[in-house]
Amino acid sequence: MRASNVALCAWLLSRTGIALAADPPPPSPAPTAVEPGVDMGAPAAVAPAAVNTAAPTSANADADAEGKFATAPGPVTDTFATDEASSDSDTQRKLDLYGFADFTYQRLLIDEKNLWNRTYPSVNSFAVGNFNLYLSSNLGDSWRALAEVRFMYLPNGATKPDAAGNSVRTDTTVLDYTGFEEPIRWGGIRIERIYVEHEFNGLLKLQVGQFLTPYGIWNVDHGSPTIIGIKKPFVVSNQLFPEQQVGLQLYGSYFLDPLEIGYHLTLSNGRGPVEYEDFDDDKAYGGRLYVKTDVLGSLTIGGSFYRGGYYDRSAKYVVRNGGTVVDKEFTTISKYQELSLGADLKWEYKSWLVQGEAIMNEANFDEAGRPRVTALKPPQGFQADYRRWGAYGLIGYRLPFAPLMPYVIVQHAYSPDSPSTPPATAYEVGVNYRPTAAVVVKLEYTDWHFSAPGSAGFGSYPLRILASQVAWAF
Amino acid sequence: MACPSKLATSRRNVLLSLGIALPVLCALPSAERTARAAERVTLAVFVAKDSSLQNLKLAELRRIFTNADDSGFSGQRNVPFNHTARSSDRVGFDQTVLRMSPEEVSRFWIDRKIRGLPGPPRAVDSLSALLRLVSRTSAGIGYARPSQVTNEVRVIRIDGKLPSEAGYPVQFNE
Repeated sequence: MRASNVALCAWLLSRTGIALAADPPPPSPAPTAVEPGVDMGAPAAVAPAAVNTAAPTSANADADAEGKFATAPGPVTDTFATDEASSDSDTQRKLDLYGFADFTYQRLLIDEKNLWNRTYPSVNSFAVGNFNLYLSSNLGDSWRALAEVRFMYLPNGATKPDAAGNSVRTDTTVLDYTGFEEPIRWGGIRIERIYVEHEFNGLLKLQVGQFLTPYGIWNVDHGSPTIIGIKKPFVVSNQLFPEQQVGLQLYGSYFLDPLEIGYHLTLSNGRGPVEYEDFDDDKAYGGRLYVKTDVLGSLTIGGSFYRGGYYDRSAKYVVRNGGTVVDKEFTTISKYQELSLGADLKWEYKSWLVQGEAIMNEANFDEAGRPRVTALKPPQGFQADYRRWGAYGLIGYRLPFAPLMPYVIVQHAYSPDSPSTPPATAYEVGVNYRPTAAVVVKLEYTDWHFSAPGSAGFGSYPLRILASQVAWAF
Repeated sequence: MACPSKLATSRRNVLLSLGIALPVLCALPSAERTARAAERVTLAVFVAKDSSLQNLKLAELRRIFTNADDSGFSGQRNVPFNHTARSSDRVGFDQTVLRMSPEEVSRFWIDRKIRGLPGPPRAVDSLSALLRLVSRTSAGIGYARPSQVTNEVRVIRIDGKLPSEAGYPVQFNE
């Protein structure tokens, strides 16, 4: 129990005291939450109130970290939220707040004339990248809610090319009326996911809302303290599967010793320009099937698919029936059907970690829905159908004498939908140091190799990145 | 003046005595520690008396205490109650059943929550509360040393064995 919880208990007790003083006493005293109890054979146990005053050791920090992350009620603790089960008052909380953040510094190990010096984002800069806050709550009777939001500096500083070739930067500077109108910049909030879930049984759990697409490993691991490397593999960041979807997700698993077999099925608006509006009635569907066993370490093998349509349009108001009716007229900007397939493997054996994903995505445009492609050199044209794919493999080994994991990642990406992105292969080496369970320090070197210059010529220049990151869960 | 040979003998005896006594002196606490380290602790897994659960495989127990229990078609999910993170029985249980060190357990739960999955079982810091909780929860499950288990609850078999039987798997060296 932390100091804040002690304070909370004290406050609750004082409230109870006030209530008892004001109300007539109940016929019989309610059972107390905790009895003095029998010692559980815990020589190393520390009195809860003393935890915060103990010298900070790694072991304490880990335990405290776990304690912090143990505060969220488990899937069944709602049953006991108000009864005597609450020997630790943390579980009485209805809302659990936690999250993660990261701080990154990277520089390019290339000569000054290299094109990447001027085009690669956030070079030689300190940057707070993710600041994600989770709000989790057990609602009782097998209902659970989870929301995750990311606080961002964006859109301030984001750049976009205009028709004249200028790189136009977004400036969100405003004058702060709460002071002396000093300039401040506002940022944005991105909803990563928000859903409510009901568990019918182990085989049938239903989520409704916005969820992370259940494919592969990296997209669900998701948080910077959890993932091993600093940057997502290109095949994941390029969203061959949509990163999130809005709709329904059905999932469950069954344990047939020694195998756990699990599935996810999704029905959603699919990929589109607006999260909350599906411009056509063509719902996207997808799924994932996996098998997991703990016979030899922990081995998970999975396969995923997604099929859906993309439709973007512009609209204008028109007057019809001699000016008596105002209607809307749409013009298709882009319309295609897509199919994504993925396969993944994760194997944790003793101190070894091996994981990899291979993903494919193909798009077939409607003849009336091909967008124009902006090319540097004529002839201009329309977007062709495409099939993009990529894969990555990661091998890591956590050292026995220190919480340090050296790792190697090899990845390849082929993206014909983006002519400026040539086929590329990257070799990464890094170390992932986790001094306590909640803090991760990473150092990573990446060497990109391009097999063609690409339409913008980027592939003609070598790209070598040295990046470091501190990520923490809170 | 002492005879040099006598002096040398006496010095040799002293050194010999020291050579025997010091290791013995040093070894005594060490031997005691070794004896203590070798102490085998058994943890009995128990459920409510009215629970229909009689036996669990070790793999099933692992799934319950990592909140991976899927409860199958019945929807009857087991409700695990844990000891506090620093207690020796918790550390031993995690190492034996979950196959994780305390650091690995911490990482496991943090990573799991960042993935958006439910957190760890509730930790209860008093044995009487733990026994009472399990006894009053039809799907409750907990663990403790056999001598600490009262008749409020019922001990179940793990891999077909009771704690008193040879080959019982939930044991660790304290």
